[in-house]
Amino acid sequence: MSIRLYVLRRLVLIIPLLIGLTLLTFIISRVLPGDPVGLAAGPQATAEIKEALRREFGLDQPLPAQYLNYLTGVVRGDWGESLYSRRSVIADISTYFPATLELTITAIAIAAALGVPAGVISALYRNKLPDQITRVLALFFVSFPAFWLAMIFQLIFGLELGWFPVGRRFAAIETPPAAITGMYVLDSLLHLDFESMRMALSHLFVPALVLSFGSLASITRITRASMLEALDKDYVRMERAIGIPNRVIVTKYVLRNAMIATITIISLEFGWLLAGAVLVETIFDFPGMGLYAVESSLRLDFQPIMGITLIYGVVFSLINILTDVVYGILDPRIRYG
Amino acid sequence: MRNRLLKLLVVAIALMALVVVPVTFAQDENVLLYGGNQDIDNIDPATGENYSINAALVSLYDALFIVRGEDLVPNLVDTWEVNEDATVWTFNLKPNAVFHDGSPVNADAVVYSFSRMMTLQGPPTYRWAGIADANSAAALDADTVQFTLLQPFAPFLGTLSQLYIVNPAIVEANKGDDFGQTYLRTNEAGSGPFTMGRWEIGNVYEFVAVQDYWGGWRSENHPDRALWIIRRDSASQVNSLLANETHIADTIDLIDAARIGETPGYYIENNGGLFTNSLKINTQGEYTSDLNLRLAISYAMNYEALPQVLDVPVQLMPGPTPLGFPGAVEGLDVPTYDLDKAREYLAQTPWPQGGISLDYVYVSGLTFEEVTGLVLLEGLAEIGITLNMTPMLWPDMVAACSDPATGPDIINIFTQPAYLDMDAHLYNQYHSTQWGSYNSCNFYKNERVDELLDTARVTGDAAARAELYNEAQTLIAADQPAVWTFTQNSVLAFNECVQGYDFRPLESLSVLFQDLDMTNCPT
Amino acid sequence: MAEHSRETPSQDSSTVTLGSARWENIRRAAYRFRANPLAMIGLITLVVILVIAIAAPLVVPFPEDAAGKVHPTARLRAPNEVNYFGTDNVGRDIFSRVLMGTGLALMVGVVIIFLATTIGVTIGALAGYFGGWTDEILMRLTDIFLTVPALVLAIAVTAALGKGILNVMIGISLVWWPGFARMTRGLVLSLKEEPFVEAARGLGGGHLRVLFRHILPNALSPIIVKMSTDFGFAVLTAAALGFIGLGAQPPMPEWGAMINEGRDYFPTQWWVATFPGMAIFLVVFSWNLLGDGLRDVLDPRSRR
Repeated sequence: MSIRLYVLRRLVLIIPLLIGLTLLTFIISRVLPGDPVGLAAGPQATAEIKEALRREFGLDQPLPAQYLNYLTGVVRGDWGESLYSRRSVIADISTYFPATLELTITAIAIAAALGVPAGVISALYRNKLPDQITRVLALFFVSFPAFWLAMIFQLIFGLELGWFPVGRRFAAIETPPAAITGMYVLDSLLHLDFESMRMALSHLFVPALVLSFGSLASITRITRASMLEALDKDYVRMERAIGIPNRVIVTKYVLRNAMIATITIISLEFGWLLAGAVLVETIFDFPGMGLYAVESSLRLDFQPIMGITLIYGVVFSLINILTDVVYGILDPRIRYG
Repeated sequence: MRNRLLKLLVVAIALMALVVVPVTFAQDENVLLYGGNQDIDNIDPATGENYSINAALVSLYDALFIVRGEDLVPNLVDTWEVNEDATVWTFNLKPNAVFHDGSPVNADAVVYSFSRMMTLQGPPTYRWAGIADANSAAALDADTVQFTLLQPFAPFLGTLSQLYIVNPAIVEANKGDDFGQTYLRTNEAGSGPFTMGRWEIGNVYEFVAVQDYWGGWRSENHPDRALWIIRRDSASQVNSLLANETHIADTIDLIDAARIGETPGYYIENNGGLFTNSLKINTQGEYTSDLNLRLAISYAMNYEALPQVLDVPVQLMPGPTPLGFPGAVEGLDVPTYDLDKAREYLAQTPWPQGGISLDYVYVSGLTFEEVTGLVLLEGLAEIGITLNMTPMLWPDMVAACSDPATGPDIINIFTQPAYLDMDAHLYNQYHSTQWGSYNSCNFYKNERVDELLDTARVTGDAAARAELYNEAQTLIAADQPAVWTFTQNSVLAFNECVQGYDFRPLESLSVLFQDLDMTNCPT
Repeated sequence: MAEHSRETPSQDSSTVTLGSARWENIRRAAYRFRANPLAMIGLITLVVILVIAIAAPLVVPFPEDAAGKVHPTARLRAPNEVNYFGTDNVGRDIFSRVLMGTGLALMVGVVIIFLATTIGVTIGALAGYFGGWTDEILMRLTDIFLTVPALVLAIAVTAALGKGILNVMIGISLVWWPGFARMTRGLVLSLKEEPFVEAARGLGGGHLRVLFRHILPNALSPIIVKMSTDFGFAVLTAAALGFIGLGAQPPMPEWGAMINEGRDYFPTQWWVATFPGMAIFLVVFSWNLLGDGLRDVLDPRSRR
């Protein structure tokens, strides 16, 4: 099967999955005992006010009709409105998602920058002290509750040392770069506005660092394991036997092979970090998907909740396909089938 | 190999250093930075209402009246008169008021705005439920508007500070199929002292001063721009204030307030408000319909402990009405913390030794509601009653309050009157027609009280009204449909360079940006 | 939460049904485990934590502080010789509450992992063994759950179920099982072609008997590895929900909720949030050390 056909087939297969997902979240959201309408209507709301709100949001219709309305809306790009803020869900997601994406990309970059060398060191010094130390460190960092570590880091880097801002995406008083992608760093780069880029990066660094810890352990472990596997290969032993310097073998053969597994794990981690951002965003007042998800959930504001899970579903599925494709390109032995 | 790693490390450190260098900015106008603890969700005056939305609306729009300090001040209105039975209200508008597009704010605009408001039946319309409808307002001439109410309503003026006037031309141009709701949610059509600037959803909202605002500015050094910066919790509120990332912090606790008060360059505004906390007791509940049990509960509450354990400054309530509220009855005989008395009353119930378990419902994660419950839990444990702490999500609480059968035994509720009148305080909490709304979660029904509240509504004479409300309060106090706990002070922390704040008991959380003075702020 | 459901299924073909060989393997595994100092440290710490969890009600100075007692006059005291970890915003002894919370945290983790394992293994085993439509339906269902990050779904599900520690456990388990299901399915798929399974089937064993007596026991070690590595993350996830405000019912000493309470007093009264956080860390870290060691021992692919 050609790669194009393979991707196409995978893309088509996402659709029933996403329909299933919307059904799942719809069921979850409609069996709730709570009264989000009452909350949105305010503490002194009369029955008429609540009824008007219910009608406006189509909640007076039978459930199957509501679900059908939702599905057709989703296809048309209308993901409904928040009961509480009355803002369009798709508009809110398009504001919040780039923020979280940017945070996650930075975090995964930090995690890879720390984790891959750590894994390499671990493998090269297998079972010796540096190996033990790196492994313990990786486990150490992944064991912290992210929200707690975020508080501590905010205190240390933001308040005590004053190196970084205490939260948010950008200095409030300044206008962020005009949106192209919605990701401030990329946008400021596209505008060649380096001052803004520096500001965006300084806001990103601490939350991204905290977030990256969640992935450090697995990236380190997989890098180490695949390095070891490659080091064990016959041709590597052969090369070593004929006297090629270790440094050359490692950089030329082993690293490249080990990269395949590592890239896979990095792309998998990416999806997990996207979710982990929920907790970090809460602490850093970082206006992204995580804050949006938490606030909506606590209000049982189901339209955003459904939109959020759907967009995560789409992104996760795409990442999975991308991972498989990249994997195939890096390792020609894999065939698409 | 190791060399390369080393190089990588050096590059990484260099990159970090680049990021670390602090960035400072200069500005040449007065920019007010306000740390607000919640989002400004929706700025359509017909459908949005909470403290952050109100702060935005009062900046972008003008209403007929405005609350300044403790007073209700005419804003768009010049003069007004009312007929004898408080059903027909006639207002003359100031001639010079203009919308941001230059068109005049006239009687037609008022009629249009009120009719739009009542047609949409949004949350803010509870004030006028049963009192007015979409046809109640009429323009007599360009500058005169008349409201003919469905029934007499003496406190009508007080509700008009929430009637923001929209520009009919702009709404009509963006009407869509929902009366312009989609448009007005994220756009303004007002005449207020500010227009919208940068509007970063969930993040920062900017208000840009209209320099030649028709109503004039209090101070020459008013904010040229005001930024509502969302800082969701007290920790980041304080951090931002002290880091000079904000000028005002609107959510801080007592300890931080004390610390900030001692820090040079900052000051604290601590004012007793009308933000009233009470533990509503379900008067229709399985156990709690018993008056003696309600009294026992109320005597088991250690009131004096509350100011000690809560991190917000509070004033204990002397009964159903907070101290200082115009018309509050003084000297009511209400329970104090007295376990002997609590046992005495409990002995007169079917459960003389206790042994029952009551639910205490409060907003999940709200520390001071939890703490209030813990104080009651301890007292009730002494008399043999188990208090079952039941944190709920807000929408679940609202749902529980919709019916006496699902109403919690005890629920922690904050209320704030919409206007400075006993009607706004008592009617929504203690009138039996209000059952099902969140504020009336005690499901209180006393026919005499209903009658008194209804009569007072239509009584124009102030002394006669006061008489009626006195009796109502006394009756309510005797029935103990709630443990009346405290009113919470409004605590704001300011950077010293911002002056001119005037506490508004009714809008205790929203600051009038337009009245602030920034003369001493570095520009 | 970053970790779970990501293990690649691995067949441990070295485990054979012959009893003596299995014992030999376990003996060897135990030896390897003992030779791993980190895993041993993890194990010892965990034993200590377990002892604390059991003994807490007897040894802590103020056990009533974990059950709703408040001390209005003793609030927010810094750590001192009476309150080793200081007191919180209603004057409760944080040391007592943290220790009393240990049992709760462990129980939450155990329940989540067992619920998730039970659901996941059953679904995965049925799908892998019967194949065809059963497989198709069950695995598509699993895929739906796997398309959304567990934490996001857990927040939504728990919020919908309503607050309370029981709902937290149910909510997290409901989003946690798919990882187990997918892994078990892979294991069963490869095991069911093994000669000894064919033999058992040939001897007239019923489907369920073959599945549960012959196939699953041989898939046990990777499942155990995943259970142990997931445990720490289950504890973390539960704490995260507590922190968000979906956790245990007060006055239960739930660590995540305690951090949330302490957040308002941070950093001035740093002790309120700091100690529960360190407790979570300690539990998770020692579990991770243990899980890492177990993986080395039981999963021969990663053993080098």
